[in-house]
Amino acid sequence: MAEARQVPEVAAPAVAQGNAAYAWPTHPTYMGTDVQRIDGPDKVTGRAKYSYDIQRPNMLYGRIVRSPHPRARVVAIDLTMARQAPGVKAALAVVEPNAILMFQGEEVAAVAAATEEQARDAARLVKVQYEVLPPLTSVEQAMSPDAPKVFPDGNVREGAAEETGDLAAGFKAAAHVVEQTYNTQVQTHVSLETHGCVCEWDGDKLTAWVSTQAVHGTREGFAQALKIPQANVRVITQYMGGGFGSKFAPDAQGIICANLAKQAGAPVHLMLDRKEEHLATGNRPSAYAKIRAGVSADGMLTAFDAQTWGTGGAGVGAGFPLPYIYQFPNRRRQHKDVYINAGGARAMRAPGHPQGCFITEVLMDELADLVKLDPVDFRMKNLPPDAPDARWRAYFPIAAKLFGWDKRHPTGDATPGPIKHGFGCSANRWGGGGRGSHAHCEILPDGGVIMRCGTQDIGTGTRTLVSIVTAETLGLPIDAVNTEIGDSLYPFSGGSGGSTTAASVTPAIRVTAVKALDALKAKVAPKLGVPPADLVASDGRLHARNDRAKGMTWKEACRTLGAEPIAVDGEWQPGLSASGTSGVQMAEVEVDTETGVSKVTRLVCVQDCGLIVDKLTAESQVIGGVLFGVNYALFEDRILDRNTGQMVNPNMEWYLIGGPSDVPEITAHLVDQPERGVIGLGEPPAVATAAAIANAIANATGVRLRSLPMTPDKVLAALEQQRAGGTR
Amino acid sequence: MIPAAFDYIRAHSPDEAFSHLQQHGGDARVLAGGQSLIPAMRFRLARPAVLVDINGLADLGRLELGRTALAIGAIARDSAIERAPWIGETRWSLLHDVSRVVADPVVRQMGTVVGSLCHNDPSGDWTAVALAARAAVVVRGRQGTRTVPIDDFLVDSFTTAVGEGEMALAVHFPVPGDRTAGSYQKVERKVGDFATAAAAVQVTLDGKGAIKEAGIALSAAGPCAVRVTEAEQALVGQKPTADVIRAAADAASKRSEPQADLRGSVEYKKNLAGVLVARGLRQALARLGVQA
Ligand SMILES: Cc1cc2nc3c(=O)[nH]c(=O)nc-3n(C[C@H](O)[C@H](O)[C@H](O)COP(=O)(O)OP(=O)(O)OC[C@H]3O[C@@H](n4cnc5c(N)ncnc54)[C@H](O)[C@@H]3O)c2cc1C
Repeated sequence: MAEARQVPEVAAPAVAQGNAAYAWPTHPTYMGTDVQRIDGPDKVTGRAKYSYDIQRPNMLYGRIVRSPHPRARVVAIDLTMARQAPGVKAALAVVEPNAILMFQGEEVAAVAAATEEQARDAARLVKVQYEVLPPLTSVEQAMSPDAPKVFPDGNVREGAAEETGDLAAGFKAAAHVVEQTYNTQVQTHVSLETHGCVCEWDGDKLTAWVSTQAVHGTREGFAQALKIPQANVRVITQYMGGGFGSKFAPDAQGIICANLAKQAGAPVHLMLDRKEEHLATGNRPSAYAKIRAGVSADGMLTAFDAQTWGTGGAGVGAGFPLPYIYQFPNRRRQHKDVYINAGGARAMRAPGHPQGCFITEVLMDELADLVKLDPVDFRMKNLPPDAPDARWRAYFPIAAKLFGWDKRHPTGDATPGPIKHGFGCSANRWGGGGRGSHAHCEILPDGGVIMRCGTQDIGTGTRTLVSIVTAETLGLPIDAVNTEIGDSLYPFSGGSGGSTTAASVTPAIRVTAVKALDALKAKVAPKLGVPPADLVASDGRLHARNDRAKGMTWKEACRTLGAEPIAVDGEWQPGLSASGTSGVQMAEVEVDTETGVSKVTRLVCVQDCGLIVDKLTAESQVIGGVLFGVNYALFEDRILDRNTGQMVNPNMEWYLIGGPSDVPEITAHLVDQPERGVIGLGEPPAVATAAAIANAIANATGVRLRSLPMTPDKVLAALEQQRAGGTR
Repeated sequence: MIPAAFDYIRAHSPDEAFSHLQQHGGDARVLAGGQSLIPAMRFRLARPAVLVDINGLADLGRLELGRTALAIGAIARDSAIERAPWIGETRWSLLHDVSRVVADPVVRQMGTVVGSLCHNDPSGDWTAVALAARAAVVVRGRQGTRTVPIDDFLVDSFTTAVGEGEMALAVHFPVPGDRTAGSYQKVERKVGDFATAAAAVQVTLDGKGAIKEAGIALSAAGPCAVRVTEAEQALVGQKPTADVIRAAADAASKRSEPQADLRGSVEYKKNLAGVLVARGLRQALARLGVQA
């Protein structure tokens, strides 16, 4: 049973001392400004080739046969008819007879044929005999004492209890106690580009064009699974349509694709469709928390006692941090991972945090109401002390001012009419930070510059960042740099996860570019009669620091190289990046209390960004993160049929994602703290949004929703309960 | 996502289109905007052997506003209604509203009003509007053309009075009298979605401020769009008051027979039907300067 592939938050010191030679420029030309994506035109004109677009001579199309049953024993697999079908060049069984399949969509067999249609037709001709076994279709069922034991070590894995302080004393000190259950749903990644690859063998060497967040990690994955040396594998990812944590490895479909290609002796294209994505390529686990929490009369948190559980599907954990951020001096938590027969969880944009944030922040508002404190004031009382990576005490007031928080009315919009308005707030934290990326830089005699790094641009703008840092360092225009990334032949760089890419890659690029420039300076200095250390590169020239006239153009300088280019390697060094970030969000909603429909109208996000490399991509990350959160709050939900366990909405029609009119007015307030160095930004802005929206809905309606997504029926049910005199 | 094989005929005149339809009978389908037919073919829910494309018939693309009726030709697009010069007039407010919420702007660029009526999706928008406005569809058959009142035209889910080998040429919306206004209220999960519930409302007031005529219809409330006769009866002859509106809304809730799906439960949708009729009536009346 695999553990969810979680990318660890990097725990590096917040500010490390680095080599001054590589320090970030204090008066940058490009860094921190709005630089457009260098590959934007390629993407919008279709010149950019994604894995899906790769075409190879004699290429075949692969198709996987998947289990339609959430739980079944494979009795027999017959490939005969499929092999005889038109165009079929390869067919294989992925599992042996007697294998037990544990989720709908689990891989059973595969075919490759000359066209995609032929592959689909042939896949239908693979005859699989299943013995259907009763599945665990819900957390409730899996936890019930009379549930069949479906997983070898039990359906429930109980973690160790975490306990600090004196719980009894904490509750004794409480003037009010909240006792409630909260939960969040299973969310699937829904990357715009689906998972998949094109695999091509040349003898015993494999080239794979993969939609992946980790070209090197995927190389390793292929080598291990196929039992070939890593040196025999090349993974290429030039353009990629998002992964959100679900694309770090070749996965089953990658290995199947390589095996089909081997069997057929031809390249194979195997990209998944939307249904396969929903079923078999990961998700964010659900979370449940039954909490008792206490607050003193003066609004100080005193105690927190929680039983939590959740499901990451078939054999995968469902952990999340709780309580989130706020300091309960006395606390206890007991967590259980619950297994059900559904596709396994994978890391997903800030794994665990949106769950922990939603549960804690909704609870915080409930406690604030009990002591009749404004939610922001209440939080200010209970936040941890200020630290570079934990600056909520500074950010709440900034957000409040930007948002107009002082116009918040107490819980329950008292204005007449069915449309109610409300404000809500919440906070987030994340790790991020840098680690060992490598790069290679060449300065060519004709003035050309190549910067190579084996990172990948998963849609976040990494390619643009590499160009910006290189151009900044060499004093050249951005388009003078040839940035080459997305290939495992290039110097090692880690997976794009945990919001570590910018903080890993940009320091490596900086170090490498400085080294290359130093090498060029050494060549040019004697010719100019200026010591190398006195040379600076700016505006396409190399010149003496104090005498611009004493210099030459970049091209002239490079011409002095003769035939031998400069070629240097460099790697990430401490001092240029930091880990740990904090942020605050505030949302305004409009709730129609007759239809139950909630609409987010405005959202302010104050987010620590450390040193901003490209303001435009940074803002895009924040806006994208907020939209992610809006969808999590109101729409997305993986729904399994209670009886059959099959997913009832494995498509884009019924697995709901908001549309353009659901996008609020978003203010992305980037807290630029250049002294901290570069910090990742992909995940943090997605954490706090759902909680802020939930609190805003409660502020608008006077009823509290403790379950995501906050669909119209839940809003109406809560209002109905209130009308009937029930508790809030 | 690939349709079954089919033949394609591009018609150059209504006569030619009609003769192809007559020739192929039940095997042929008219292709209007294709926004419903093509997806259905791609999912292989529909497998017509022949498509008769009427998009080249410019004459059928006209909107003709006459003295008694607005004639919307068979290939007049939703977007043409949205941009019609008269669409801002109060009496056309029902059409104004619906023309902005059918599907999304891209779909409205191709989708047609007549095609939508012929498709008769249980959750379609135009069907409910046509009921509330008491429209009629002009159908060409072997015996010549006939005008079918919308109540008779909508037979059942995806079934209309257009028989095999026949085609619809236009839909006629009666020109509403003075002191008429309407409203279209739709709850959708997001832009571009079919209705979770929707209500079409049109009222005409008499000289004394009483309701002279009322059209109330629901979408996504049964096998096809439904007229709420009880609501209309509750309104006609009455001064518009909160009580009268509530009676109409209650009748709508009662009449609504939706199906439960991921858009909502039966209970939720029935409740919405009432809420939306009440809102629609209040908005239509407000457009006539009446607060109720
Ligand atoms: C993404 C999307 C969202 C949508 N959302 C909505 C929505 O919110 N509300 C809504 O009401 N609709 C919606 N639709 C449907 C859309 O409005 C359709 O365009 C419309 O229902 C049919 O019009 P059409 O011109 O495209 O017809 P077609 O698809 O061309 O035809 C539909 C059917 O009617 C028949 N037909 C068409 N014209 C004639 C004729 N003159 N005589 C006889 N038969 C004819 C065809 O043979 C076919 O069976 C949506 C469609 C899409 C793709």
